[in-house]
Amino acid sequence: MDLSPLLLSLAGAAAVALVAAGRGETRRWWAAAAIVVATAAAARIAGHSWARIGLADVAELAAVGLLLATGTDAARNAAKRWLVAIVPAIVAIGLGWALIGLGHVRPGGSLERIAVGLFIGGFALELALLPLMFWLPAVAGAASGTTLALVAVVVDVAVMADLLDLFEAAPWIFTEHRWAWGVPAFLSLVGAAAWAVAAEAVTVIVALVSVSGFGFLILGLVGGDAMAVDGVRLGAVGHGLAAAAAFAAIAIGEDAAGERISIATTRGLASRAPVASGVFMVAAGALVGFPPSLVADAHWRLFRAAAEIAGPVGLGLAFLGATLSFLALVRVVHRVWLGPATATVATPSAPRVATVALVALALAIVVSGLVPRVFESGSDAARIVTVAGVRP
Amino acid sequence: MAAVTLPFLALVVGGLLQIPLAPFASARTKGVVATATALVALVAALSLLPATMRGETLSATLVPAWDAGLAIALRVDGLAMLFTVMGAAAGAAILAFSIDYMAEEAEGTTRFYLTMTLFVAGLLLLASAADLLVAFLAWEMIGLCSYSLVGFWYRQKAAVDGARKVLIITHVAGYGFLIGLVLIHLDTGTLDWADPRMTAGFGVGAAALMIVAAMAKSVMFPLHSWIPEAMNAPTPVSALLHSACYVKAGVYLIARLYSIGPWTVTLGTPLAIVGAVTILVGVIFALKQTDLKRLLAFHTVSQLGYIVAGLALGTAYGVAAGLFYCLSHALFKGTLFMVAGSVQHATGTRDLTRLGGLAGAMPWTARIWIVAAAAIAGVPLTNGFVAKWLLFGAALDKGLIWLVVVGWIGSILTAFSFLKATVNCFYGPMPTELARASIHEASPAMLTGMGAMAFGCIAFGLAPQILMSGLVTPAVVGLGFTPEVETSWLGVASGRGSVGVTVGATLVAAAALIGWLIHRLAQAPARVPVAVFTGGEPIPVGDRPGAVDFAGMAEQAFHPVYGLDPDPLWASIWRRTTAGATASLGALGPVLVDRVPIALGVGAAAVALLAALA
Repeated sequence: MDLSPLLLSLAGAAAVALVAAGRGETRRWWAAAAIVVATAAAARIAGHSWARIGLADVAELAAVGLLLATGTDAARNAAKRWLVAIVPAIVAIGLGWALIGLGHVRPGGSLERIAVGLFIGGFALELALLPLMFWLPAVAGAASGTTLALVAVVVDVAVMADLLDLFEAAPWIFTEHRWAWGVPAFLSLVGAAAWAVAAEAVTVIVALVSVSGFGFLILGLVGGDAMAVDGVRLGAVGHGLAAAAAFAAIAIGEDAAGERISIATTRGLASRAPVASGVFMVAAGALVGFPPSLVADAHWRLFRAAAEIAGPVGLGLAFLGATLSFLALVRVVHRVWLGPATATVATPSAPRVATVALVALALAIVVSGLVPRVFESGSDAARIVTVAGVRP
Repeated sequence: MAAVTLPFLALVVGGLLQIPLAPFASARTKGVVATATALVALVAALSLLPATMRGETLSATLVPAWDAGLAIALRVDGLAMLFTVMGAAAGAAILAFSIDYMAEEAEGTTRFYLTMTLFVAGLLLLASAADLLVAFLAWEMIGLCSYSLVGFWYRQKAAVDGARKVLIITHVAGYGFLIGLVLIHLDTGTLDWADPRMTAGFGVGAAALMIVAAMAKSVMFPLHSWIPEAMNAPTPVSALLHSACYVKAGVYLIARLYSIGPWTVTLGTPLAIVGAVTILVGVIFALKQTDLKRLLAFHTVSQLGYIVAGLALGTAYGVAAGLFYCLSHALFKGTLFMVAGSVQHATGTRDLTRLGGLAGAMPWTARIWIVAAAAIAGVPLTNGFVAKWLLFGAALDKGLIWLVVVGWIGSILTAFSFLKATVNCFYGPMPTELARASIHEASPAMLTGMGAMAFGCIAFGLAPQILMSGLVTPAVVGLGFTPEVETSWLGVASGRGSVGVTVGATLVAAAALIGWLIHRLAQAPARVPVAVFTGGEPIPVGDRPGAVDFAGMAEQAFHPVYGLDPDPLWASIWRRTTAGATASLGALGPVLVDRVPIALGVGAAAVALLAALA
């Protein structure tokens, strides 16, 4: 079993925990966080089994506990919405696994369609893919930056690992039902990015850009060849790490601003939180595929998958989604972080431990992007064969 | 460690060295370290020159296993060497200039020197990349460095707005590179420049997409409008951006396409037209500027039009002309920006309406400016003259007289524009507020940096064969061409297609000589001041047209051209995008987000439909 994605995910979680320690999260939050991390890690170690599926479900439910630990009315309402998504998702995915006998059975006919529908519905609910993202804006708007960071680097990475597990157990679910997966993938890729352009709350914008990224990753599974699947492997971990860094930086930025940050009201935050600003920029760049980052290493493979699935239209949609995500995040960087500050109120500097953890997250993004082979499958089919030769 | 990797590694290591130096080194020390780093890179690059002059291609692996089984491998042929030497030399001169220029900067000098050295390293990696994936990595590295540097003063709105514009226009167009790379891999299964499979499967579509990416980096119309906004950066950044490291990345990519496939048949003419339009639009927009750096920025647009037009010709002569122009431009544009920076450093302004009479206070700066201004205008004895000479010869050889006419008009307007800038900056009476201030000559380090590049303008104008035989011809050979033209002293060309130009130029020189003789022999009247005709009311005797007069004249004369500003189009696309996104959220939000039961129902129905149709 390749543990490198798990280890990177755990390292990211540790950095987020240090940021949370610096910010003084509540005891309930720490309890929920411990359950999230422990069960998600155990699920990965358990391997392909019902135990893994069960542990991953517990991790997701515990993530709702993180949100509830915030203690606000908005968080409670958002948690209810999230549960309305997660519980049916757990049931649907569980039924799906049962129908295909954990990948050992291919039912065929209507049962196969039902299984595919259950998996699509379940994973779409968990990842907030369009058209099942009703819970996302509320959760992203109500949760603290550290909660969202932990969810991104642990829960989201675990869900993508589940999808990869499903692909390895039953690739036909993706490759022979391309359009059933391709439609929500392309829809999320473009739609979530477009809505990110329209949104104002920075946590919501980053969350929507993440959903657009999930659309990209699912395209890799639908593409289905070794190179595309390697793109999913790299992108899943890279995406979790980048989103976690972005949310953690937002948390520190919100502490400096003394309010939820929004492109409508917050200006020049880099003057008050320079390290968080730099880390947010590194993370935002990684989220939209700037190198060096694992998402960049994944991006070209996923663009390739888009071309294989839908030719020029696929490439056009991938370009549109990537561009819209990029524009949404550039807008955040330039309206919220850079430029002259409107408020001149002196703010306390971020705790040293949180600052160090943020820098570690940014370094992890960059360094992991320089060594993508650590996270690749190692399959020969995923390699570009070079031929020594000179052009005639 | 292979010698081939040394120029790149020297810059990366030298750049990273800035981090441990940060707590205790002064800004000046950091500058010295960065300059030394670039000099080491330059010396290392020059040590490889004899091999590439012999037509050899040098290879080395930087990282054995990187991505998808590919190594980060370098392959240095003639073209790679040309861009490596240009980047390292310009980088060294500009970093030397930075030592004093940035010495008083209160904060951010570690970030500045780290990013500047990585910026140069990015160009070297791009030029030497053995495959498209590493080239794309370098492409993005250059883009990120430029974004960071243009937004160096990140608390100033103008600086960050400029940085945003650079990033958006070049990155969005840069997806052309990524998509081109993907298409090539799907069609050929390789990303290696030298792999015969790439040549066999290289399509016009992929080439066109990569050219779009190159056009944005190389400020081709209509993707050029980011460059004047990038002027709110420290001057060394502008100098590096314009002379060597950023706009030249696109030039490199276009040139490199020659070593892959026969794309020019289909794409050469449209690209030449784009180059020609860019020549005129750039220079006409430059004419109306009164900000010295914005004026230079628009001239970069125009000059890049010449370079790309040369490369688009698709002949050995044209490619040689384009590459010689590329090197020459690095020298004179780097010099001009550094002079503009020195003027701003000394006077606190770069507004031509507030400058004047600086030649007395800054004599060496003025001399250096005049050399570079003469070079960009194509005055004989300078490298700019040789570059234009070659380009016009190549265009005539190809039968493209219209391109020569466009280039000629562009040259006249360039000379006109620099006459305005030179007179308004360095001659005439000094404005009172400047006269009150103690204007000082640029420091020795600054003069060394810009003087070294200005010296190159003269040296390679007198003996262009040094550049031709050392860098340009090996690059042309490396791209698969047989060299067709040679130059000797003063740029006199010999070889294919050069006879007509040489005869024409001889006639022009003879006519000028005869005119001068007649003038002398006819006992010309003594000089008296006269009223200046401006196209409207004459300016009174003794007065002189100022920068604003020139700008006004340009506005009047070229009014329709100023309507070709593409910014309103980009702004309109952005407005429509945000409006569309907001409208879609407004329309679908109530169904898909606000009401959970409806959202769940719609989602479930959609999934059921997909599963049923699957």
